[in-house]
Amino acid sequence: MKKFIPYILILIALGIFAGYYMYNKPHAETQGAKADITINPADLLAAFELDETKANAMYLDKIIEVKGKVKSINEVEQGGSISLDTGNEISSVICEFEHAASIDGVKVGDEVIIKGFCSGKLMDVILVRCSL
Amino acid sequence: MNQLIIILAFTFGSFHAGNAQKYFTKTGYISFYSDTPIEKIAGHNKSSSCVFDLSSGKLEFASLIKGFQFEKALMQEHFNENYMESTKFPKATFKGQIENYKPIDVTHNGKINVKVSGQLTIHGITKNISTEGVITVNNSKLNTYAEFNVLVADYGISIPSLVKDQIAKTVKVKVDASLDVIK
Repeated sequence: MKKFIPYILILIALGIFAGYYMYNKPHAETQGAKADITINPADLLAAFELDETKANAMYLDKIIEVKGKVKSINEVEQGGSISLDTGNEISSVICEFEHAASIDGVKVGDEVIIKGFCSGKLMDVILVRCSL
Repeated sequence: MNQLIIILAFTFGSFHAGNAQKYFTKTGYISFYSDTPIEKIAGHNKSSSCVFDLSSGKLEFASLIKGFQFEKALMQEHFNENYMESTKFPKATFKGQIENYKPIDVTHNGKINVKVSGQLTIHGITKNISTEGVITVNNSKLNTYAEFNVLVADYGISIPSLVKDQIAKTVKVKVDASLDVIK
């Protein structure tokens, strides 16, 4: 029995280490990641308007790359957010950034390419944890 | 189609009630806090939408569950997959009404304490809630602020006994949204 004790201790140590690693594992990032789907903002919005359930199944949690014109830069509580023009008066594609500094220098009317995780649609399709 | 309805609703709505004004945002901030002695968990959503009807005092909020951001990736994963089942129930909504509502004078800056009651839908379950809140008029903008508690078990969310000490049974929700008039 005694000779197993070191192995058991190693196992426990590994377990604690793995647990600690899992607990602190980093967020998946869009910066430098490959996009799962590349689509233009108007088509992305259209897909959600046509059939939300189907669009949810297709786009939720995926890294979406959109290229479009900045319609507005929104004031938010933390970080920053950009709305992309979809040709629709009411609905756009909202791209949330964790840090306001990420969108420093972006101006309304700029053509931008943004990657983000799709979180669904309210009045707009929303992408979170975006990067330029 | 949805948009057509919205546009029609606005057009007809404004014909009907003369100068019925609606206030609105797509970037409302909704956060929640689960505090236990062992662990503090907070989720933040900065793209919640809110519509407020100035003439009737009706309020509506909506948030995407997957839009809540957490400090730790694992918290976010558990929140979405184990507790909120956000693929099945992607949205949380609140539809309510300010009690004893008298139309707010938006030409005067100031704070108004209000009591709001209505239906909160989370995880596919709808419950009546009521809370106190503050509406601040600031240069014809309206800020809505409220804090209220939600009992996790009320919304069919079960917490495994293994983590029951890490997750609060009552979660504090904070709503902070600045609304602009719809022209």
